[in-house]
Amino acid sequence: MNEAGLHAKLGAAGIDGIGELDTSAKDPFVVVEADALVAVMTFLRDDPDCAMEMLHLVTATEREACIELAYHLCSYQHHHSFVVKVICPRPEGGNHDTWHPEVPSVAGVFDAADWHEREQWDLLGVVFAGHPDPRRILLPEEWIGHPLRKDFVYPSFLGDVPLELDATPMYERGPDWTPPSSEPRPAGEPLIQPPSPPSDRPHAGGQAPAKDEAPADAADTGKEG
Amino acid sequence: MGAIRDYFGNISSALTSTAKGMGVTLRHYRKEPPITIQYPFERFPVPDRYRGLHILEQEKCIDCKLCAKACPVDCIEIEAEHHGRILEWTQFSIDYKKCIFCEFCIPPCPVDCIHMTTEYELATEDPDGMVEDLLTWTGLRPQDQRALEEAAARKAGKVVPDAAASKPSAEGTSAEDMAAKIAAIKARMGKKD
Amino acid sequence: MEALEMFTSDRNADVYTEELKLNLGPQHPSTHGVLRVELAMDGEIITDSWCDIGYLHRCAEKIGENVTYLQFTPYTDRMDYLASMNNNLAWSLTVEKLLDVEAPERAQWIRALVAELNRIASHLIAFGTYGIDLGANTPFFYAFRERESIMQLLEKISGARMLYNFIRPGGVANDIDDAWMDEVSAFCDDFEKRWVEYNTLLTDNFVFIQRTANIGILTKELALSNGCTGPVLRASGVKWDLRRDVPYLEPYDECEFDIPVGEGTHGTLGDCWDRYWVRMREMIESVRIIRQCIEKIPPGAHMEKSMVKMYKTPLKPPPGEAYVRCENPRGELGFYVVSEGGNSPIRCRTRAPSFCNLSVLDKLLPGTMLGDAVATIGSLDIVLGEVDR
Repeated sequence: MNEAGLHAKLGAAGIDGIGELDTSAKDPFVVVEADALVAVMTFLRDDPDCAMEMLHLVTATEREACIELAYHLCSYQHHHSFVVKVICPRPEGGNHDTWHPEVPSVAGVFDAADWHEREQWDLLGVVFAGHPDPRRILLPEEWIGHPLRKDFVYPSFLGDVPLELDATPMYERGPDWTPPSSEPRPAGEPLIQPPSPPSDRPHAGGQAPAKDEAPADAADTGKEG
Repeated sequence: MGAIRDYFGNISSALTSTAKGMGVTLRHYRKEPPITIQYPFERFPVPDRYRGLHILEQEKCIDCKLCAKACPVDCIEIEAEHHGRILEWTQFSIDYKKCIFCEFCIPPCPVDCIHMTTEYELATEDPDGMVEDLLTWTGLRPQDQRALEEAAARKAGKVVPDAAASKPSAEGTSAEDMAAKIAAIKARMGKKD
Repeated sequence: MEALEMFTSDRNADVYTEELKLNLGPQHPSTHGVLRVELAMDGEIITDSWCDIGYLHRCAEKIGENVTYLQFTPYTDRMDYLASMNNNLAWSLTVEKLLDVEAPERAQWIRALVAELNRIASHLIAFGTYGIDLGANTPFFYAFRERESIMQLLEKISGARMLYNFIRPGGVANDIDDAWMDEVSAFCDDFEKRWVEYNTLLTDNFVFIQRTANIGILTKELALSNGCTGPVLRASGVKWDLRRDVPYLEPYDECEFDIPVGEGTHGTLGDCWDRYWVRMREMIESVRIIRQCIEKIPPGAHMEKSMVKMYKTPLKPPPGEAYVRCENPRGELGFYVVSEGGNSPIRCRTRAPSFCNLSVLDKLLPGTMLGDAVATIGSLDIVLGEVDR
């Protein structure tokens, strides 16, 4: 069955909040409401014509206006695959520190979602409501912030340990070497610097980061040469 | 009775199957030639395409910085002052602490002046020596100096005395030159050959 | 007196032992890297287990958002460093899908050829180290000898021994010549003989069978629900291989090869021995594919002409997203890349096969003995560089 057939099947299931199929994308996807997600996933798994046995991937993507969750499903019986998306719009002034979009967890439907959702919480700060084990997975539990968010600022402390970003290499440290920021953090001060406003973020306004603009000029130089 | 038979059966299966495996080892021991290479006295042949230390043909380089921009780890630093076509070199260095030998600096070069050699022994005791300057000379060579002076003179409207002699000499980079450069790089990185 | 009463009253109950928390790893040789498994032990029986990963986290996804599409290719080498070719292949296919280009025919055959060679090398490591995990040291040396031949073959065409960076968006870095292909066929002839020796050394060994059969049984349902792929899934009896079912390269469509699945030869379907045996048979299937590739490889260009400029000008795919899956030695590697038209993707998500295969470990371990935990971890054949990325 192709994506259109799957979408029709899903539409006939009587679940509210299922959007239209976006066929312009390379992998056609359907956007569903967050509330309908668990029902949609359960239907896609249990329906004999869909029979999506495997949740392949859970991805959160931060865009300018939203965080978008993509669920890649595939079926081994019928050799087809499907993409379900959930869009969490960005509230006014929402940044990585204040805004943690919440979607229901599908770990109860697919066991595979367990680790994938933990990773997305860890790196992008998406809260999966009802997750059985909502811990960080790759980063240490004491970590502050979610590093894959575009406005993430590298913390200067991990717990009470200073993170020596610009530290001298080990072999160059003399006997009187001290870490650059070894003063303990004053109580009450936030661990991370306040993030820059969204307009300053490199991807905002469709502008590529400055670093990436550079090679384009380089090409011109090359032609002259 | 069955249990006892199983017990001894298991022991004999374990012994016979292990002995068969030992037979393979014995056959190898007696028939196959040893394959261990006694490094550093013997070495594997290194294929021509091997991606080792870089080498720069400085005469050709036009300071376009394309290689530095192609580098995924930003390990190439280039600095030169342009006097028309003549370059006054300050720096062309590769930080081998960062370099991942991915070869992406080679194809973008418009004049084909940076290459990778087959030199693979990069271990060193001195981390400072790992920032490798690939330049053969810095500043201006005498012939560049002459050419510059000449250009200035021509601009001022004077007659150039000997145009043929002041042409920048087209020094080809022969295999010996390359070998000498590699030897120099090795020496600078604090290695004994 | 009281103690005696306690003793007599509990006589028929099980012997009470205190729960012991045991750390397996992160520096344990049998965890194949820096995996830490926290085990709750009741005597020698594991009652519960928690995997702790992230010791090798190198921010690959964040790096992917900050470098160009081409520049990320060497970073994919370093994810599953035992199968760099296959990782390069998956990334290149993803970028090609975003750009709507296709590699030339010859490049596709070269890709399949080197990917299968790398698959053999990767499975040889799995075979050799699995022997070491279970106390059989000899097979390791045999496996590494053949792997060394493969590494030298790939070094000749790519210029590096492990981190090849050979398959690039649009094709492959260098063309291959007939002399090299003759060497590959010579290796294939040699390898088939060696493979029989491996079986004598390890596969048929009675002690090895006793250590692996009926251990770490992964049922089909558990494997599917947990997203296990590759040999781990096939050993549970699911005949699914992307190379056959969704051929992502032309040669996989045209070559003949079988897909080994677990049969429960020495025990239950989906046990450690099945996973091991599926890998062993896959090596022989890879040799079959390599032979057919050498035979059928067409002449032509090794790189798409329109893509050569990517070295100078960064690739700029149109806004959109692409998800590509590839059959890696460890399972299905997927790259999900979201482009907004810039020089670098805004999201570069990796579906690492080891990550999903490892997530099943917490469900396999409870109820087994401590010694079998090592056998189970080894049979999943994880690469921590890929789990943590």
